[in-house]
Amino acid sequence: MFEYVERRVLRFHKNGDPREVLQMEKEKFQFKLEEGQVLIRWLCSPINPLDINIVQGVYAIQRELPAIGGSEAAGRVVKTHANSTLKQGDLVFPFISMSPNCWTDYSVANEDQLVKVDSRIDPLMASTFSVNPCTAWQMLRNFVEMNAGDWIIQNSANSGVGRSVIQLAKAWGIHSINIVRDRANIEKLKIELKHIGATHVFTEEEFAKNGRTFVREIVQNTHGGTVKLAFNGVGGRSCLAIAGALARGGTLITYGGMSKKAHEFSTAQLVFNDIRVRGIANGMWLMEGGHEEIVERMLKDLQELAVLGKLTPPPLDYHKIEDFKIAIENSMDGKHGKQMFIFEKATDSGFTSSPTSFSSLSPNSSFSEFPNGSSTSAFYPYQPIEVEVYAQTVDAEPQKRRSKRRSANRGKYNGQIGRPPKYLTNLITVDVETQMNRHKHTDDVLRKRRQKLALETCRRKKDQDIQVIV
Amino acid sequence: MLTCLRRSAQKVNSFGRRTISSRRLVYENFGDPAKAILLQQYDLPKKLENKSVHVKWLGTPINPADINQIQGVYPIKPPMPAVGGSEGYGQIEAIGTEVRSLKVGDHVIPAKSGLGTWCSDAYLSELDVFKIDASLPSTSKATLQVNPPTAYRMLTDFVVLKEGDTIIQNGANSAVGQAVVQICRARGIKSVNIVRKRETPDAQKKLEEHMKSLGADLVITEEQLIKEYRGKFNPSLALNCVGGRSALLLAMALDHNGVMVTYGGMSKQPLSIPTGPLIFKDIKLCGFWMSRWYENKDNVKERVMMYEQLGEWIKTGKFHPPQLVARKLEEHQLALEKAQTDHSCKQFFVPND
Repeated sequence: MFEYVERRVLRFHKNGDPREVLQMEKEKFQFKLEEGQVLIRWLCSPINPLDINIVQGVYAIQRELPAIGGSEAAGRVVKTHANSTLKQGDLVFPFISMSPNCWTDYSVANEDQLVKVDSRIDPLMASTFSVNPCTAWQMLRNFVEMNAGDWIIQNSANSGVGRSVIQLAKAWGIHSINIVRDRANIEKLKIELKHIGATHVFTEEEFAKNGRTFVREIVQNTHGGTVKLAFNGVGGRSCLAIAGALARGGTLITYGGMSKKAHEFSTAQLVFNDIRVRGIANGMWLMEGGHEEIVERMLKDLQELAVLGKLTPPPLDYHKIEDFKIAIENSMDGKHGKQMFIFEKATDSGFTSSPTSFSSLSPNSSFSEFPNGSSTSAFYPYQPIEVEVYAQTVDAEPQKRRSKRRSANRGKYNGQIGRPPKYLTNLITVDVETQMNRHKHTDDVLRKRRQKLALETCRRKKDQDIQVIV
Repeated sequence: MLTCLRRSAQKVNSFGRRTISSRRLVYENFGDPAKAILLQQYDLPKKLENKSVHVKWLGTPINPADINQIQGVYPIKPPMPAVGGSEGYGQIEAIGTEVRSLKVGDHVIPAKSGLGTWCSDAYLSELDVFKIDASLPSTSKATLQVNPPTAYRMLTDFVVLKEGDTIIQNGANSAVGQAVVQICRARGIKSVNIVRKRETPDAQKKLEEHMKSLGADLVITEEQLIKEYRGKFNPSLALNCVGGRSALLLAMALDHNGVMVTYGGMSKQPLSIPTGPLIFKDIKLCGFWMSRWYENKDNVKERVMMYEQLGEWIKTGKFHPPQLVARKLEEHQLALEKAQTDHSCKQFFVPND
C-alpha cells in the first residue's frame, strides 16, 4: 500500500561545491509507512557548517548519493503507523540519525530517531536544537563538574555553539569569558552577547593584551574563582590563548576548527599546568549510543530552558527553499548569521497543484511499476492534511505581540540579513555602561513577559497549530 | 689541602663536638650553568635534628631539568643560594633519635625533586628521602628517580595496555624514550619509535641498532612514518616530548579514543593538533610531570611497588641504566659544559670519591 505526496527537495547527485551540486527538484514522493515510521511535514531547517561539509563530501560520514541535504529541522507529524507513539500534529526534530533528509517538504522518518518537543517551544528553536545547544550542554555538563560561580572561557563566542554556551552558562550561574573576532560593529556584538548572558566579551587582540591580567585580577582576586573549562571552535593560536587562561588541571574542549589551522597547545601548559585537551563531535557521540540516560536528561534540561526563553536560536536569516543558492552562499561566506529554510505553505511556491495534498494515483499512472497496483486497496485516498507553518500561526490574535517582537528580532523573511532587536538599535547611541544596566532591566522584563506568553499560548496552541483542510 | 676538600672532613671544634664539613655545588644567580655554579665547602649543623637523617650522597647525575633550573627557565625556582641537582642516591650515615623508617646503612633517593643533590653530605628530614633496594647497581640507583618512573607512569596511568598492544613515541632516543622502549619490551608491548633523521646513513643505522638492542620493535623517521607507515598501526598511546609538527604526526597515528601524553617539548614549538583526530577520533591530550606525581601523598604505596618492579627488571637484565661518565665535584665546569653539548652519555657526579 503506497501513498504519494508532492514535495520539493534539495538534492545533490555528486559531492562538490554546494553552490553547484545542489539542485531543487519537484517530485512525487512515494512512501509506505512501516511499523515505527511516520510522515513528517518539515517546517523549517537551518544550514549548518556540517551540512555544507556533507555536500562537499569532506565530513567524516558520507551519505549515499544521490542524497538530500540537511541534518537539522523541526516538523510536524502528519501521518503515523497504527502503533505509533507519536500522533498527528506532534512537533518533532530529528535526532541521532545522520540522514534525516530534511531539506524537503515531507519525509518519512523512524520514530526512534525523532524527539517530540514540548509544544510550547517554537519550531525555529526546535529546528536548531540537536546540534548547537546539545554540544554546549555536553561541554558544560559532561566533562568537568561545574558549579555556580565557576568560570569558562571560549573563543568563537558568536557562533551557534558559542551563543548556546553563553545562554546555558548564564542559566546555571556560570560566568563566561567570551572571545570574538574584531569587526566593524564590535560594540554592538558585545552588547548583544552580554544581553544573552555573557559575563565578559573580548576581541582576540584585547584578550591577548589584557587577558592574563584579567584572569588574575578579576577572576581570581575579585571573584575568587577559577577558569575550569575552555571551549575552542577556532584552532590555531586562538587555542593557545584560551588554554592559557585555564587554572591548573583545567580542561579544553575542541568542537570545531573554523580557522582551518591546526590547534596549538603549549607544552608547558600541558606538563606543568596539567591542562587536559579533549574533543567533541556531538553527532558521533549520539550515534555511538549507550548514553540514553544522559541524552534524556540533556533534552529535558534544554527544553525546560527553551520554554522559559533562556535558550533561544541564534540570529537567523530566512529563506524559501527556492532561494537556496543565496542561502548557501550566505552560509558559506561566514559573514552572515545562521541561514534558515522555511518550508512555507506550498501554494506560495509556484506549484500548479497543491503540493501539500496527498494525491492518490490510479494503477495506470506512471508509478504503475510498483507492485500490488490493484485498484482495490493498494492506493487508498488519503485525506490531505494541511499543517500550518509557524509563520502563519503567529498571525493569530493572542500572539500578535510576540510575533512582532520576533520578527524584529530575527530579521525579515525573504533572505535579508537579520536586524538586531529594536531595543538594541535604539540603544546603540548610548554609552556602553548605561546600556548594560538597561539591558539587565530589559532582559528581566522580556523574560517575564515571554514566560507568561509561553504559558498562555501553550493552552491555545494545540488546536490552532493544525488546521485540517478538506 | 685537596684531600681536605675532597673528603668530607670530620674535625673537632672548639667546644669539643664533632662537626661535619660538606662540599656542595651552589649557584647564587640564574645564568650559564658552567659559570654560575661554584664549589663551596660548609659545615653542617652541630646537631642532627630528632627527625632528620645524615645522607652521604654517592652518585648524582646532571639532568636537562637541572640545567634549566640553573638557567632560570624551569617553572620551579628555588630560593637563592641553591644547591644544584635533583636526582641521585645516597647512604644513611646517621639518624636522629625519632627516626623510625630508616636506619644507618640504608640507601635512599630524594622523595621529591629540587632537593639539591650535588653535595657530599646533607642533613635532611626523614620525609625528604625514600628508601630503595641497596643491592641494585649504583648507576641504576643514581638514575632511578626521574626517567624510568616517568616512562613507567606514562605506560601505566593513562591507558590500559595489554601484551601485544602498540604504543608510539617521538624523541625515542631521549633518556625517557629509551626507558619506554625497555619497559615496553619487559611488558610485551610493541613500540613504534620515531627519531630525527641523522646526517649519515651510517649514523642512522647505528642509532637504529642501538634502539633495537634495547627492545624497540620499529625505529623510523618522521618521513618514513608519513610515507611508508601511514595507518599501519593503531596505537592507543602516544608519548610526545618534541611538540610542533611531530606531535601532529602522533595525533594522526593515534587510534580512536587514544591518548597523547606530553612530557617535553624539545622542538620548543607548541603542539600542533589537527581538528579531525580531536573531534572525530576523540583523542585526548594530557601532560605528565614526574614531580607532581611525587608530590601527591596518595602515591607513596604505588611508588614502592613501582621501584620494586623496576628493581626486578634491572636485576634480571631487562632494564639498563644510561651510559654515565663519572665526575668529581671539582670537575663541575667540564661536566656542566659536557652535559649541554654531548648527549651521548650522562654526566654523573660522585661527590664522595
